[in-house]
Amino acid sequence: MNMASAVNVGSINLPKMMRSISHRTSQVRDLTFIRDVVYDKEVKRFRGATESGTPLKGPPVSFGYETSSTDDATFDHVQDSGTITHRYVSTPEIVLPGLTMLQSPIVSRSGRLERTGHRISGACTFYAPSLDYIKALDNFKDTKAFSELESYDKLIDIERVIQNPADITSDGDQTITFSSGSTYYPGYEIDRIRFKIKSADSLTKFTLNGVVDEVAKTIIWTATDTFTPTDWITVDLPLRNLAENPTQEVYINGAAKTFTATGTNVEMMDKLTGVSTDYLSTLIIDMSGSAPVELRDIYLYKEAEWRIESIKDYRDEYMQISAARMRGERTSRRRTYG
Amino acid sequence: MAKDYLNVIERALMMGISDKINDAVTGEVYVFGQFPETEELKFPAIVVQQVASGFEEKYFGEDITFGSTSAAASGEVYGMAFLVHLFVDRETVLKIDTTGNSTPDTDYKQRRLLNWLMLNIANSVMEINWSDYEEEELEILERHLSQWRDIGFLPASQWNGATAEFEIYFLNKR
Repeated sequence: MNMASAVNVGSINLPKMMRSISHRTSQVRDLTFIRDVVYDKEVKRFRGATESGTPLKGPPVSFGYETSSTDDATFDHVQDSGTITHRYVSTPEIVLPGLTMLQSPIVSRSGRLERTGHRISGACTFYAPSLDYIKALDNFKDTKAFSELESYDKLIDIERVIQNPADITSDGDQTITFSSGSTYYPGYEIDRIRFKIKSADSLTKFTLNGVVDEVAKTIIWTATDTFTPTDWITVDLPLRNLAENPTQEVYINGAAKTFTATGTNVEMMDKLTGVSTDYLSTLIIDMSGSAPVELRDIYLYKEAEWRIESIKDYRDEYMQISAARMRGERTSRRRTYG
Repeated sequence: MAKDYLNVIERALMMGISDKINDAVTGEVYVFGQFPETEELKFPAIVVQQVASGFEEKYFGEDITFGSTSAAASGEVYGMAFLVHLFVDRETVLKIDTTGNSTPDTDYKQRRLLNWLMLNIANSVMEINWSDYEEEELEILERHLSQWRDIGFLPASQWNGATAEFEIYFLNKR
């Protein structure tokens, strides 16, 4: 990990402490930082349904709700204090893996039967290195849209690793087989996939294959923005509850690379119950050529999604982050209702 | 096409209030469709909040005539209730024309500004010509800005503020 040498790690040196105790306890977590996309808001500067004609007096009217646009947008509007520019800078989702924090406790869950059904919530405390240290980490330091941790930011943790295929060093496209012969692995517990990749060729797509009712199904994440992972790149993408053609970002040295999901059944995960008719089959990683490719730390995992609620910042020492978990699900129901 | 009167009226109301009140002052009055985030809050701020809507009155046969067409259509009178919140912070200044010569001459601040805004927002609402602001044909029957209430000063933020109750009745053509 390349660190700026000037970063003050504080008198207790939390990063070093975490490195030491990570060999003894799994309470040191490797988290993925996610901040949801910030959309442009709907504003109106002309009367009625028109986008020209008689301008509204005064500043543009902000209706308050968001559009679905992340395209850069500006327009000028003349008002008493002069010409004001409405400005929206594209702010896609930020997804930055590789954030190490000390968590206590690791999993906290309490279930409650409510009017809307059964809801699981939890709370935990993360101890994080100072903000200066985080901002000097790879990817974090290059991502200009990341300025600080904020409340409602998400920290995705690997709650349980469901599949952890062996690391691979080989050439060209790679196929990892989960279920073969008489062993049929389930997939309903899996929320996300994470792997590290390094190659002189580009990653073009990866395909997760499953079998549902004896019919082959796929989830394909295609690199809409292809990239060449000449250094180790962490790819971390969701596999459950995918909408039609969703896009997600993978950040490489601060640049967002878009992945788009397609496939014959992007909602197959919950149906993979682990019997001979419904099971997780293979993971295929497609490269642009036949150059050597290294894959390591391949995890198909059940996530724990934590939302930051409060931050106590002890400057150059550490940050104490209270986080809440609001989306815990009972995997028994996932499996039952598919 | 499914009708979208609630959005159209809400948007027209915001446009109308902003257009009218800003025409009457030198300086800017900001209209928001919901309580603005801290990063976008500017003063004076008017927040339009819809708090209720529903059927007000049905006609025999549920028939109405709407707009310029004389053909009967299904529909009834529908009502919407809004709260219009007004905030002015301590530093906000608007120049107001107090002599009637169309030249703003006097700085209004704090409670004086709040009082002026309350009356002039009420006037603006009454003067809105819906056809100027509608994005779909509307037939507004009545509008009542019934009262300003909760007029006061919030010491923690040093804001003067007030809230108006406001109802609109319109023909809901189905």
